[in-house]
Amino acid sequence: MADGVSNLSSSLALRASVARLQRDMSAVRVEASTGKIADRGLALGQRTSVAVDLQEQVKRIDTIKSMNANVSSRLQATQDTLDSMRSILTTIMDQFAQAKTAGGSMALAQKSARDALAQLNDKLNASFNGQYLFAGVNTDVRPVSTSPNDPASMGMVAVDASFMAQFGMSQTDASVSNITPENMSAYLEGGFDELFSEAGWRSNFSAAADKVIQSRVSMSEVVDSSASADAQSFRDITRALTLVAHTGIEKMNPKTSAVVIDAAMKALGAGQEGVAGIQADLGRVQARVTEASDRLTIQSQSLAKSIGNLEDVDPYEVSVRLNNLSTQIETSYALTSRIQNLSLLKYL
Amino acid sequence: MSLTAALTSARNSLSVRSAETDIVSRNVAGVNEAGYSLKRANVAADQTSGVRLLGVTRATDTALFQSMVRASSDAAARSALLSGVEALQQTVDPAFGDSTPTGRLGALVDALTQAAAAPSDQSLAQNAVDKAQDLVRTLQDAAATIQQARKTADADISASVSNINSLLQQFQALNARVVGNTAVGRDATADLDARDKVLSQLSQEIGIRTSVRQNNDVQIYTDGGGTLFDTSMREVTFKPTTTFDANTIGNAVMIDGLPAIGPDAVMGVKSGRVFGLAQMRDSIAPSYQGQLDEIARGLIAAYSETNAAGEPASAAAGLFRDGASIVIPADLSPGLAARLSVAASVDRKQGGNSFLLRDGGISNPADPAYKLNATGAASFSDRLRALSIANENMQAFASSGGAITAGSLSLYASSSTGWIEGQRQFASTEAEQKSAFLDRATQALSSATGVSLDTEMSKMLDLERAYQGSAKLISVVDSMIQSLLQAAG
Repeated sequence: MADGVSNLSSSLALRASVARLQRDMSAVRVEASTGKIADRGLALGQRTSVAVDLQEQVKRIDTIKSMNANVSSRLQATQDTLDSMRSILTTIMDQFAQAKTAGGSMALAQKSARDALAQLNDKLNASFNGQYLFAGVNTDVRPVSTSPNDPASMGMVAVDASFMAQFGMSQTDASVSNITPENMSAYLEGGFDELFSEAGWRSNFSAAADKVIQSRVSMSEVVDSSASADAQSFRDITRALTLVAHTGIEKMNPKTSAVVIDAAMKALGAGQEGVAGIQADLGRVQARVTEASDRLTIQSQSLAKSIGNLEDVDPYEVSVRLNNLSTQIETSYALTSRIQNLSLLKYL
Repeated sequence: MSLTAALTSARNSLSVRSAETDIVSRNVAGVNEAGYSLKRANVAADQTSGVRLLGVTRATDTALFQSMVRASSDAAARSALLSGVEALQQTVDPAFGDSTPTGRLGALVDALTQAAAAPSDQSLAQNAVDKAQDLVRTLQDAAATIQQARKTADADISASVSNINSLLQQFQALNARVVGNTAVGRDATADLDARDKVLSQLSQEIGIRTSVRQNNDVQIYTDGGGTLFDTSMREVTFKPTTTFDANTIGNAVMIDGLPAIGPDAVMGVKSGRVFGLAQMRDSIAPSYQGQLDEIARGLIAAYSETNAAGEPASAAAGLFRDGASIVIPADLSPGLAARLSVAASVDRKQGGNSFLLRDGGISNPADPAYKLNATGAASFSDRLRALSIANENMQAFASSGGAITAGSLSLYASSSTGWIEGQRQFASTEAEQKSAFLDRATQALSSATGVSLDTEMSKMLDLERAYQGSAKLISVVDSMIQSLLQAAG
C-alpha cells in the first residue's frame, strides 16, 4: 500500500549506519595510536584469561630478575671480600715462612698475625646492604669476634683462659720460654684444638648460623646464596692466626715456637684451600644466577611475543581500515545532505 | 444526465478532495514521527454522486510489525544484560590499572618474592602485608560492585514493571476505543497508531506476542505464553529487594499472581528488558560473586599454615582469614569475598608483627609449635619462599559460572577475568546483532507503513488538479445554467 520509501526509513538507515561507523572509528583510532586492540576484553572474550595470565607471568619474571640482581651483587661482594682475605693470607703465609728461617723474628710474625687476625675479623664481619655477609641466615648478628686488639673479644678471652688452664700462666709470662715442644704439641692437639672444634667455635668465636641464605632465582630454582663464618676454612685460618698472634710465641724457646709456627702454617694452608673452595662454590652459584636471569629474559621475551599475538594489531591493516572508515563516513555525510536535498518540495 | 447531477458530482468531488487533502496534510505532519502509519482515503466511484468517501485506512504490515516487536524485545533484553555485565567487567577492566583481583594478587606475589629475597627487611615484609590488604579491599570492592549491580538491576526491574503496568493501562484505554470505533465504522486509525506505539514500547520492557480478534480487539501474551491482556489487563507485580548480599535471592516478577520472570518462573518470559535484568541479577552476577568467593577461599587456603612438624590437622588460616576465624573453609562459602580479612597478628598497622610472615605462626603467634624459624634467624627465607609461590599451588575450586575447577589460584583468578570478559563479548555481540536486526525491522516497517514526502506532494498535485477541475466544472455548469436562464428569460 505504501508508495516509495518513507522519509523516516531512509533517515533511520543513515542515522544507524553513521552511528555504527563512528563507533568503529573511535576504536580504530585508539588502535592506530596504541598499536593494540582497543578493547581487549571485547575482542578476546574468554581468551582474555590467557592474556592476563601471560602479563602476570611477565611481571613475576621481572620481579625475580630484579631480585636476582640483588643476589648477584651480594655474591659479588662476598667474592670481593674473600679475594682480599686471600691476599692477606698469602702475605701472612710468607711472613710465617720468613719467621721460620734462621734470621726470622717470631716477634715480627706475632705482630703480623695480630694485624691479620684483626683484618680477618673485619672481613668476616663485612656487611652489604646492612646485612652481615658471613652470618649465614643470622644476617642481623655480628658473626665473629676474633680481634686480638679488642680486649673484650670473646674468642681471645677464651684462648687466654684455655692457655692459663693448660700451662698455669698467661701468654705474656716470661716462663712461657720453659714450655717444651712436647707440652705445646699436647696443648695444640688438646685444649687449643677444642677451642676451634665446631662446638668450641660456636661458643667462643661465632654467632653465625651454619645455615646459609637461600634464594629463589627462577620460578623453581633455589640456590645457596651466601657463606657462613662457621665454615671449616674460616676456623682453620682463625686457628692459624691465633696460634701465632696469641700464644706468646715471641717468648717461646725456638724449638717450641717452631712447633707452633709449623702447626699454624699447616692450618693456614688448609684454610687457604678452603677459601678457594668457597669461592669456587659461590662462583658456580653466580653463574647459575646469571644463567637463570638470562633464561628468564628469554622466557619473558617469548611471553611478550605471545601477548603481542593476542593483543597487537597489524598497523598496516589498521591504517587501511582508518582510511576506509573515514571515506565511508564522509560518503554517509554527503549522502545525507544529498538525500535531504532530494525533495519534490524544491521543484514545486 | 442533467446539469444538476453534474453539479452534485462536482460538489461531491470537491468535498472528497478536501477530505483527501486533509489526510495528505495529516500524513505530511507525521512524516518524521516514528510509528505514524500512512493514511489513505478510501474513495469509491458512485453511480449517483460521482465519488464518495468510504473511510480512512492506514498502511499496516502485521508480519513486519510482529518482527519489529520481537526484535525490540530481544534487543532490550540483550542491552540490559550487556550494561549489567559491563558494570561487573569494571572490576577486571585493565583501564583501572592493577586494581583488579589478578593485578592485586600479582602485586602480593611480587611483594612476597621481594621479601623472600631480603627476609630481614621488615619494611618489605610489611609491604607484602599491605599488598595483601590491597587485595582484600579490591575483592571487597568487587563484591560490593556485584551486589550493587544486582540491586540496580532489581530497582530497574521494579521501574520496568511499573512502566509495564502504565503501558497496559494506556493500552486498555486505547484498545477499548479502537474496538468501539471499529464496531461502529468510525475512523480509528489515530488510535490504532497510538495502540501500536504502546505495544512497541511494551515490547521493549517485556517479550510479547499479540493476536487480533474481531473489531481489531488485540490480546497480549508474554513470549512464554502467559496472558498479559485479554479484554482487560492482568496485573504485573514485583516486590523489590532493598539490600543485596551474596545470599540474597531476588523476587520474581508476578503476572496474575504467577511468577513469570525470575526464580521458579512458570511459562517464563524469554525476552525484554525485564528478562535481561533478571538474568543479570539471578544468574551472571551470582556466578561472578561465587568466583570471587572462591578466589577468597583460595587465598585463605594457599596462604594457610601448619605447625613446624607439618601435621595436616594443625592447618590454620594464615595471612588471610574468613573474618577473624582461623578455620580454613572447605567449600564455596557465599559472601566470603566480602568477609575476607588480613590477620591482625601479622599487620604492624594493627599492632601485629609482620615478621610472622617469615617466621610462621600468624594463626597462633603464642604457640611455639607454629614457629618455623626456630632460632629467629633474620634471613630465614624458607617460609617466605614457600609463600611467594603459594599462588601457583594446585587447588580445587567449586564450579561457578565458567571458571576453571582445578588449577592454581592465579590461574583461577585469570580464568574468572576471562569468564566475565567472555560474557561481555557474548552479550555485546548479541546486543549488536539484535539491535541491528531491530534497526532493519524498524526500517522495513517504516518503509512499508511510513510516509514518503515526495509521494504525498505528488498526491497533493493530483488533488489540486482534481479540485481545480471540479471547481472549473462548477463554474462551467453555472454559466450553462446562466445562459439557459437567459434564453428562457
